[in-house]
Amino acid sequence: MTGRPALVRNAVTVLVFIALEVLCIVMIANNSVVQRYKILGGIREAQASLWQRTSDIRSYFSLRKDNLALVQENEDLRRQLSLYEAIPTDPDSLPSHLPSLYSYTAAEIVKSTHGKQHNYLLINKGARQGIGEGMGVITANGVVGIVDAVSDNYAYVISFLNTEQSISARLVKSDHFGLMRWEGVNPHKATLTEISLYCGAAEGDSVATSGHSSIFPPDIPVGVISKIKPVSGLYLNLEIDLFQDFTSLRHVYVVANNDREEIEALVNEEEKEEKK
Amino acid sequence: MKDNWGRILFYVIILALQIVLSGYVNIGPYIYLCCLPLLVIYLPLDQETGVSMIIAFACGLIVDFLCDGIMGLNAAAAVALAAVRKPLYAACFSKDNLERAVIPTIQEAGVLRHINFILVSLAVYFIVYICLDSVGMESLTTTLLRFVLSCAANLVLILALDYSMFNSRR
Repeated sequence: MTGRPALVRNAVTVLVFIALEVLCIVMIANNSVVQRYKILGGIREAQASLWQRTSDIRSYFSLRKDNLALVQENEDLRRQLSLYEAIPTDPDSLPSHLPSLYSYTAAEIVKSTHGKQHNYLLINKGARQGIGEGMGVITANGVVGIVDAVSDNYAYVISFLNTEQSISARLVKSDHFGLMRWEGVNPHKATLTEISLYCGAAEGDSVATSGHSSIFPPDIPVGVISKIKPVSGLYLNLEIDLFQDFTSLRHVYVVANNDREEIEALVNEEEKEEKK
Repeated sequence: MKDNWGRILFYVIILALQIVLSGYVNIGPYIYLCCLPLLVIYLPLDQETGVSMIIAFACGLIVDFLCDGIMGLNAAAAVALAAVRKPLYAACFSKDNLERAVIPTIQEAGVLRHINFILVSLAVYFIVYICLDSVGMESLTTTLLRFVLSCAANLVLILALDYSMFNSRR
């Protein structure tokens, strides 16, 4: 009774036991309504519980896929939204074809830093996906950075958490705008500089992108005012609590201004004229 | 050979008695008189557990069929008892008995040990029987009462049968 034969014998005994008991239960269920109701109910409950668990496990493993699908859906919605934003308020001036000013590409962060003075991000979309230098990178919670260099499938983004980076932002309530930059200390705070003394800013007021650059679309909420600091009695510097948590970034959108080349050409031409 | 015929006769008597008990003796909803466990207990000890379970299943089915009960109920309980029979022997009697495939008499094992063994066997049998019969439709009190009374009544019945059939023969 030792070793393999004993093991096989025990396994056969267990199998015979299970088979006979199952046979008995089937017979009981077939011969009595009450027992059938109860036994089938129990079996169905066990089945449902098993399916629920299987489904939970399957959902867990498909979370990444679901996330990507949601990101894609967001991208499409943003594209549609920018189309509606391009519609003029005067109905008579509606053009026959409505071009979208901004287009969005969803991307995933491959690598990022947030503990340095000059932080950067590496995203998994590059030239092949239509990403170019100078494009903005955003999320629903604010500005993330600007594309600095691209390879075929990746792009190097200079993070907003970079002391040399600044973006144009405005107070939502009063439309006063200024340059917002990171001070290099706290990744959750930034400073909106050179705001007029008469802007009426108060703590808790919202700040959004101004849209005055050709990089970021307007009205992306970036944060709220947490402190107001007058500078030399001439203007205000506003401390902003950023909505974007740079320490937990994963999915971003690369935003491209479709008229950017035209805008930049015009600006360059004007600057050349001024130099002459 | 003679021993085999004696054994078959014993099985037939037990089955016949069980049919009589099920068909003609009714002492209330809480007590189910059943001598089938005695048959399972006295299946040869040198027999494979799998074979014992199949014999117990067949005997249980015969009882279910002839007693107009729910088919499979006694069979399921008898199979469960046959499955745990050998470990119960080992736990209640000396392992020596199990190795020699000898079922000790009441005198050899002692009354208390024998009662203990039969009581545990009946408990296994009636746990399966009552659980499958009531399938959660009865209250816990009713189920427990049914279990305790059936075990007690059948302990007396089986001890009486055991003593009269085996000890007198030995």
